[in-house]
Amino acid sequence: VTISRGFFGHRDPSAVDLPPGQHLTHGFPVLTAGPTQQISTEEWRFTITPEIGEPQRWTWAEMMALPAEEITVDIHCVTRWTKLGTRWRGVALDTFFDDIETYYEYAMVHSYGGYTTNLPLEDLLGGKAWIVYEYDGGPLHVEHGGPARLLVPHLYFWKSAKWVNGITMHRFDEPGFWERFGYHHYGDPWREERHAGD
Amino acid sequence: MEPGDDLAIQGNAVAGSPASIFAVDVTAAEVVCAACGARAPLADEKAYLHGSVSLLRCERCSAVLGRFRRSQDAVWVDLQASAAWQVLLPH
Repeated sequence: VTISRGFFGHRDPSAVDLPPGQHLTHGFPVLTAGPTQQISTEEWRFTITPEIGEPQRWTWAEMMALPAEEITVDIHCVTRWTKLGTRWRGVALDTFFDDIETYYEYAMVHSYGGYTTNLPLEDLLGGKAWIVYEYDGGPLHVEHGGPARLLVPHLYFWKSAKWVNGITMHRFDEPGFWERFGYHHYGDPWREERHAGD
Repeated sequence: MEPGDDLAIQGNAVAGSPASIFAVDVTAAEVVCAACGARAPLADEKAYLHGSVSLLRCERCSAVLGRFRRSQDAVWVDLQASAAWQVLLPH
């Protein structure tokens, strides 16, 4: 499956419609708020914890057995860079949530190293979010969140948690690592929702 | 610094942010980590510059000692894992 959103080949950058306050970058800046997490695929686990029943856990091999998609999307960082046409490979969150029963509407994403970020569940489903493990045709580099990260390209990139290892379901929209520090709870780049009150 | 911490810089990199908020020079401050109890000079802690945020982590356990952000109309300070800051006053 190839999925393209907002990307139609080699566009003329001057004709690109960017979210407000963003500029184009051709590199892939590395932003980090802590030590790089060195997680092998042998030890990597991804766990979804709903309020009903037992948590469901996937090993790396189990994730590799799930149907994968090629994804080509634009990404927008709250530090004002936008990168067009990034290519990823990964598994849609819809697939992980196939057998999860939950009535809660909010998700808290967790990463190795303790990072967290909050999203409404509906922003993770419907073909809008993936666990990705390849970037630009090769394994996802550790600096960019490898072996696997979340990809939620319709929100600012701090929501696309590096070194992802789980999701817990919540009744309320509780703030994550940056959201507790005044970042916007939702983070829509097209509405320039950078900080609380934007 | 731990392996994988090549992006961390010297803790003094955050000194300008608290100085602009509290009007004291914290370059020579010592910080006590609430998570592991380590006490270290600011210069020995680990700093990360993340967009407009200066972030300070414990040199021993990497707990977030502080986050500082100054926007056009507000200052954000988060000292979540700081047990204490000792700031020496000028004589």
